Amino acid sequence: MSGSKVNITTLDGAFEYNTTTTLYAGEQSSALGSVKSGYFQVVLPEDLNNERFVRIRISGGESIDADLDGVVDDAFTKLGGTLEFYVSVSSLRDENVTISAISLFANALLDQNITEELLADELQKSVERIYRLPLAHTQRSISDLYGFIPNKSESRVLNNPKLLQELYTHGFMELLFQGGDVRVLMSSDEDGDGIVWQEELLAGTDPKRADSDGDGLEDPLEISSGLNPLSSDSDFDTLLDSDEQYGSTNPAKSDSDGDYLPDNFELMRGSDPNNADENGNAILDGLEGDPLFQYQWHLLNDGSAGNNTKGVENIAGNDLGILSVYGSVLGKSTNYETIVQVVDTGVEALHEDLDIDTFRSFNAINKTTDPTATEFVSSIDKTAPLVVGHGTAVAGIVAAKANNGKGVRGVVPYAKIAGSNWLEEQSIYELERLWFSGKGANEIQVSNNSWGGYFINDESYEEILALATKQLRDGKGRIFVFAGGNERQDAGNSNLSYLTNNRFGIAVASLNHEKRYASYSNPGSNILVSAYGGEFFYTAPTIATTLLTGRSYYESELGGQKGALTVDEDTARSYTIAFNGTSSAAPMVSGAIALTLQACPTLSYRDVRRLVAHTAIKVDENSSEWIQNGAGLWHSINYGYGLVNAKGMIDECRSRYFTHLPQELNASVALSNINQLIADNNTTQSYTLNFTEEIEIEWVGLHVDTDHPYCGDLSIELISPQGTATSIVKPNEVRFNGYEGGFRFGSNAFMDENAQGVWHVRIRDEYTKDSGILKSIKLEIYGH
Amino acid sequence: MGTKGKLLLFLLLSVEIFAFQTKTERLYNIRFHDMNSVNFERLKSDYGLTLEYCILDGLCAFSSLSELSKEAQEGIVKNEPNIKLFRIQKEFRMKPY
Repeated sequence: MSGSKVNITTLDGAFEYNTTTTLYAGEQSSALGSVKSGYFQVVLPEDLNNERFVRIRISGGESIDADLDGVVDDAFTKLGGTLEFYVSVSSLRDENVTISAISLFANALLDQNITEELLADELQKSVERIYRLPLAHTQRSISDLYGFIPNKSESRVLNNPKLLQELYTHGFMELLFQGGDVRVLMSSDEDGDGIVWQEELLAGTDPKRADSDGDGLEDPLEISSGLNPLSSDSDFDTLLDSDEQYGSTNPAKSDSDGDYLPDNFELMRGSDPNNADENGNAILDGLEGDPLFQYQWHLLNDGSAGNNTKGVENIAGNDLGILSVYGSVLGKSTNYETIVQVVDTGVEALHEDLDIDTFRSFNAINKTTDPTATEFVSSIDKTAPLVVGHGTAVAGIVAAKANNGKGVRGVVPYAKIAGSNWLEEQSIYELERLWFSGKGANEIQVSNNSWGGYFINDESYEEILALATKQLRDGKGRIFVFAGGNERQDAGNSNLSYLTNNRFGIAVASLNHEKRYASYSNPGSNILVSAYGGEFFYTAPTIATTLLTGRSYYESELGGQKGALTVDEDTARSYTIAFNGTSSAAPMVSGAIALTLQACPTLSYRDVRRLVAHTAIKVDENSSEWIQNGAGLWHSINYGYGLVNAKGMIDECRSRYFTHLPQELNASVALSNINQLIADNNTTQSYTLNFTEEIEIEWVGLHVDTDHPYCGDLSIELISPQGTATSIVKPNEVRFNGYEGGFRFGSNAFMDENAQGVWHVRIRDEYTKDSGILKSIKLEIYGH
Repeated sequence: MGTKGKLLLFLLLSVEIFAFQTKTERLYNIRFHDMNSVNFERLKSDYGLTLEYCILDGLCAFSSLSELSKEAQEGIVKNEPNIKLFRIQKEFRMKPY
């Protein structure tokens, strides 16, 4: 660095102090004033030697320093020119964040032999960097690179490295090296559609084709009509834009009449896609025909009285927000069928409100395709329906039929259920058949597993999952959803089970009607997402769903005992409004994912895991256990990334800027032969592992090998290079040498972080009496 | 939701076979450390284990596994180092949540 002068000034009145500052390279200016946004101009002197580029950095006080550093970190320009740029703090951070000051400083880069190839390489690096940055952080960088200030939607276009590369490769974007200046050249209106190159770039349309998507409607017409010029089916209803444009339905709306039934679905079943209330009963067509729907607050919560003996009222709005997707996907269309597997105690094959896929169902006891439970049917225990009927209840939450005049409706109400009573049998062989090699396995999109155990370290389960996620759905992988477990009150932790802490599945926590974690719901760094499971019927609202035909009861019929409960409308006693547990939450996630897969069938299981995390809605925001990881995502051991968000997932995966995850990478680092006593006095011992690979994290595994007779005494914490700290496990009831030989914990808390750097593992024995030895630690990271 | 978890005595699901089998236990899994050295005919003749099929790497299903006698299990533990038997106790079965 030399003492080059750079003049920085503001161009508008956004600052309290309209200041011109002279800086030397590497020197940071004093604070320019309180500001949330403003234009800056940097005048670069020409009389510098051995320096051709200046890098401008901005910081905005301690609280946002890191974020803003990333924004214009590579805002470089040739010396002797003028660089103008715009900084909007509010677009970078939550608008509620108050920035006390913003300051600028400049660094002069050393001279380099600048070539066109080098600049092209620099562009590629920048594109990659843009791609890796959160959206809001890209706007400034794009401005500096392309010479205009994009708005948020425009940024999304430019945030597509594949598109940029393609445009560059095909000559629509040129890097001009002229007199040391870098310019991005744009051609004019080559396809004669009235849209110049830059606008085509922003719209994402093909600069060489007037009808980019070839649907018979030229780009200008599509844009002016609010249609997508890059899709022949703008509203994703499987009807061509041109057919809808010149036909009766709205090409810009998948549900033309707004009755929560998609146009293609209405045409398939013969109803009118332009009449929202065909029978004139003042109820939208898509919301009628399920007498117990009023009790399904998890689907639509208007705040009416809850389903519980104490009369605790529901809280309006605390639902899945799922109705908003029904105008687009319901689980079935003319060319798509949703099949969700329910591995459980059995699913009643002949239940009036379920559509069973008998070809893909399997009875693990009698080896038939009838998934109905067998073992407990003769039970005289009146509370048994919630046990033997567990699978039927789970299936109803996923896919009870809608609009059929009966009972309830599922999250994905036109899906088929491939059921099984595997919990009555439990052999690994039959599970392998169900999860991987059984009949029609390739077509099952989602597998719901509302079961588990407190401590499971049998690797066989994830060996099957590895095969199923690699091969099924034509290589995209079946999506496996697991209940996170109900043992919180026994110090349970979802991370103590290989079923739920592996990188293949999705572990689900349960929320009560207040949108807080249910009293029984296991915490865990492996939890990815939450959904509603309610509390207990005798304390707070629970979940309405299907139950074994004729086996449900009124509470009064049970002599006031707690048990299966129903309501007057359930004349056949085939439903309950008292279901709960992470067993209830998991099928809601399964249903949401099934709907998403109908919208975006090409998603891989890894895509889905990331989508779930990216779109989940933060709940219980005041909880101190939320952590913001280095990629800006919020994770909690109680909630994962929050409440599952089907609409968010569908919107995101349908975006033309959505990209599938690239090939999976993985690496590991270990500390072997530690053989160190773990102090039995609540002392924290810390160990470091230097992870050298640059991997964007999808999942982290932590193997801990101890010789400790009561390993449940141990508390383990993992801290990433970016400072994200998550509780891997807390003291629990594993009262034996359970981690001996190496127990593999899992974490989803570090999603999207760069794994490279020094990781810290902190171990503490929180109880006296039993003590043990730490033998080794291994960190394995999967990502891309 | 299944019965609420009680205070449990935890046991690894995947453990070497115990010297005895209680009424609440049953075998559910056999795994071979080395599939290349498995003699299925001898398993059938010596222990009455009839192979159904194998899945994964070394994990095989036997039609008569659940009926395997205590003596036969002890014999396997003693004489067949290539075999790892897994058992499951009733209280540690997977439970509906």
